[in-house]
Amino acid sequence: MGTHEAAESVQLENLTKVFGKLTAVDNLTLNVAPGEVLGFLGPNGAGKTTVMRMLIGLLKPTSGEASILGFDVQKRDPKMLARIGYLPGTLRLYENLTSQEFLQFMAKMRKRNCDAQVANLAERLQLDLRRHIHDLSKGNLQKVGVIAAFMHEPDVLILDEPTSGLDPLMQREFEGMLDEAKARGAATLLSSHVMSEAETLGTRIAIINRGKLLMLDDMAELKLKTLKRLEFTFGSEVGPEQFRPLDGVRTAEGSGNRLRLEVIGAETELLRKAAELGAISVRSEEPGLDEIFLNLIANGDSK
Amino acid sequence: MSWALILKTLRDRWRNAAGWAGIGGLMAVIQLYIYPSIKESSDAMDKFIDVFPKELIAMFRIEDYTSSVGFLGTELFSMMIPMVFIALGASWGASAAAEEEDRGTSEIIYALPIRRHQVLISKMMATWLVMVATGIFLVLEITIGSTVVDLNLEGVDLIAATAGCLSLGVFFHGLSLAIGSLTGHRGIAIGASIGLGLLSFLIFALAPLVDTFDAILPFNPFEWALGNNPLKEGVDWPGLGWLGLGGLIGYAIALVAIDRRDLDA
Repeated sequence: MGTHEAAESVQLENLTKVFGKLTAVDNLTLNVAPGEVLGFLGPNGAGKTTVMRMLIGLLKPTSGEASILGFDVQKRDPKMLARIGYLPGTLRLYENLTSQEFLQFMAKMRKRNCDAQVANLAERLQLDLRRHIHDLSKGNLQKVGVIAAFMHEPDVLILDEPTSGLDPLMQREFEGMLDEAKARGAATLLSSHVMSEAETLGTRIAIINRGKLLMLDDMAELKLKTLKRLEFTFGSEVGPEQFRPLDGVRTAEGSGNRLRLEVIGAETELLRKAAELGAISVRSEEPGLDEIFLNLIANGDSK
Repeated sequence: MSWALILKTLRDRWRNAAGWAGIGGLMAVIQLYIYPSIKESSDAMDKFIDVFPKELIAMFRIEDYTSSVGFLGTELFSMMIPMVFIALGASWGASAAAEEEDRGTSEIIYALPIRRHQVLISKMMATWLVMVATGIFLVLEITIGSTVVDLNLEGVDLIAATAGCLSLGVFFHGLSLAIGSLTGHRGIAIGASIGLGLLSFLIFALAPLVDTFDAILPFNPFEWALGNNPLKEGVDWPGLGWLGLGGLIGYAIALVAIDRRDLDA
């Protein structure tokens, strides 16, 4: 631990990467705390992978700074890398080895004995370690990558689209593994272009597009800030104008005993009013991150 | 340096090493096998060679063809064995410097707690082991073979000539590593270093015919390795020194370059 340790496990400050004329990452500032999973979202080509490659020291930032566990990532200190678990987005492994041999090689390079963890993780993910890597399906290859990232119980996980290729059952197992890492105090930066995944796994969400941070928020707060659709059924006819003056109601439409509302923020007042008016049932449609994401990107692009 | 990586490198590339050592070994067997018939007809052979223009005799290095040393110098140590070591050095150097980027595994190896130059040093170590093993194998094979066919060869001179070829391999290993580390492309590193190896051989071979080559001959790696005919004259220390220095410069460039560059995934 010692002098290197920082309050945040991962810190990015004005991180920028320029390739020729393309600014792949543009003044990005964010951090990940111990025990936190930051869902890192963006469309393909948004710069997520470039950020991650800078964090493990494969690419050098053009400007700005990034540190992991207090180490400047540019120095690529082996002491820092020993405490990171990294899963690349485009996974290529040593094809001439079996999964077992590959994972043993990784453990030897880390000067660790990870046999017990490997056996345990392989069982959970239902991976046959004896098979050659060149014979593995995309899903099984991904499992080998996930095990390589988790087996040494790292303090920081950098996972680029970790569930790609995993079936739903294995995705759930992966969620469990991530929860355990979180409970252990590991900080996780997890990229995805699948909104629901970041929604399920992340405690906070960062959305980037064209290298720029569009939004950084708590999942709970994020949902409060976003448009929700409610559909009420009443015992008798209720006019939409009754709801229009209420806080947070954006639109109210409908006729007869059905009303459709679009709402932002807390709904306490609205629900009380509906109950007073004799609502029988309410159907709520939560906005997926999908929608938030698409709105943000559309707004960002029109600027 | 990492033994796990040295062993993995040897495991990944043993077929390549066995292939080149095998080619060198096979050539040695063939040449040793035909030497007795050359020796038997040495009078006729000498007369035949005598009528060649002296430039051609110099170019093919056949002035002393029917003696044991002259024969092996011409048939094995002027092109075949040097080329085996150049091919080994160039291909292993290019792989060490750029194979991870070429096959898309740099995000695996370079995210591990080992410095990039340490990765390179481990792979360089594997190459030296292979080159030294190939050298020992060839020396043993030729020594045993020459006893069988009664070819009088000084062991020290055979070692000197092999050391010259091995040092030539080290030189092109360094060159290939440097190009690979600077560019990140294995193909460029192999192509450029083998191409320069062939050019070096051509200058060495054609120097007796082309006057302008005389000026560049002192800067030619082939000349450093074999110009003083180590099979006859013994170890050429300055030649080995130049080759070693060239190799070291290549290694130094490679180690600095790999630490500084952005790597392709």
